[in-house]
Amino acid sequence: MLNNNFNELVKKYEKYQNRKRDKLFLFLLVVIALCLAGFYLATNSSFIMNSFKTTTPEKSEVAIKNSVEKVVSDNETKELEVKKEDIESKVVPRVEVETPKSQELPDEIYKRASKDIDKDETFKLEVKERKSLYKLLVSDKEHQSYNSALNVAKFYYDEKDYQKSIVWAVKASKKDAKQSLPWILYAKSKVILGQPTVAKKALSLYLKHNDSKEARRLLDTLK
Amino acid sequence: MNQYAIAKDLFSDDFDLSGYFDSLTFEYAKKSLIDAITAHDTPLIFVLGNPGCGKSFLLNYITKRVKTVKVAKYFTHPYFDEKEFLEILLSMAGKNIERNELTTEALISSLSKNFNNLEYTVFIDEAQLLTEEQIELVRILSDQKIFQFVLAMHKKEGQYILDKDHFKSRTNRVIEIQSLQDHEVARYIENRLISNNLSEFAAMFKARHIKHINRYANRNFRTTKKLVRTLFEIMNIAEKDKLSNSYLKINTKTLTMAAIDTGLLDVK
Repeated sequence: MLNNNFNELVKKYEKYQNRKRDKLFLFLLVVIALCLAGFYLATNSSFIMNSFKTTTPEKSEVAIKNSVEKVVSDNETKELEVKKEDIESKVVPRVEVETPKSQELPDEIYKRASKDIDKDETFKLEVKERKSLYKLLVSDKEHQSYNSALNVAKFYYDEKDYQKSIVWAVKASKKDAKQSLPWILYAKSKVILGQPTVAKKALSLYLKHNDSKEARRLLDTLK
Repeated sequence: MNQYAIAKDLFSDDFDLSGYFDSLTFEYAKKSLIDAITAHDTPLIFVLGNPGCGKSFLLNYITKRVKTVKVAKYFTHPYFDEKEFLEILLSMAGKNIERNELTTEALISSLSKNFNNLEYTVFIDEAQLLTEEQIELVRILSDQKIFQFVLAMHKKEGQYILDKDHFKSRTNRVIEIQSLQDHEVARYIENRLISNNLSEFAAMFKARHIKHINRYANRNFRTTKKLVRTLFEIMNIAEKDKLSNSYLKINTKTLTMAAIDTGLLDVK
């Protein structure tokens, strides 16, 4: 004899199966959600870290600094006003004191550079470099010489723009094929871009017809 | 009566000794208990185990089958008052005593004249239900070596009684019946069916079904019997009512239904 009616038992079984299926579905849903969240965090972690490092603290620091400065200045003005009243109310005996004006001024005045000034300087430097590239390009357009092309190639090499450095090194070598510097710049750039065999071939080709200690030394190091 | 009904009856929860199953843990407990009783040097023996592990079956088996053990009385439940308990024990010596004829002290004195040296054993099942007074009486009778007592108790509550000061300092023996092992459940079902000419049903039980049964019954002897009995009852009903063939097989569906019906799975 069963404790339940047979049909009732079948219904209970179906209910149990449904619940089991729902639990499994919910579990899978949670797993998928966790995977997606993990993937999202992994892909955006660098962006989040950068935003924390750069923007937020600076803003808050500036805000705090401003508010502190404001409070300090308010307090100072109040204090000054109080002192002024005190001085006016009292008669002070006149005493001869050596004022700073009576001292000789130093030849140079050193001022501690603040962070803001540093920022301005770097900004100016960048502009200056941009201007220099512009000047170099203008100069090359005017003179169409070996030196002007080599200067542009050097500029790009320093800026780590190796593709453009190669283009301008080739231009410079066309102006004066005997010069070793364009070939060296070309070879160095190629090595950095992961093509050392091309660099070696170029230097060997140059050294077949010309002689250059620097070019040879570079070739030896590449071997 | 169809085959399913016959199979169902084989798994009834009773002390029928024909259903004896020689599981490793049971055999070990049986040997330990017989050795301890026949040595006559341990006044108190505790048989501990989870409900349904076979404690009562073991006591019943020894009372009826083991001739070397002199069982004075087997109390299946400890529902008695002090005097009644002593009067019953004294009647074992062939004395006809009227109810409340003697005081407790006189009864104990009379018992000590008739029984001694732990020759006779008293079995008390479900001893976790003994009251403090009853425990004290058992302690007195065993201390005076009038009777040897075997107290079968549930493991959890039994441990609580054992930790009491009455028993901590006294000589006693604890025998624990462990749960069945996984493969023993399969052997039990198979043996029970084959020995009753139901080998076609025995062949229906695959390893995965036994795994299900063990998961639901937690390797408990009584629960396993209950579950298998319900399983055959489902099959019996399905055959009588000519229901789908899926109910006539041992599968996840029928096993789960049996587990739900026996209350091993909760479906609200």
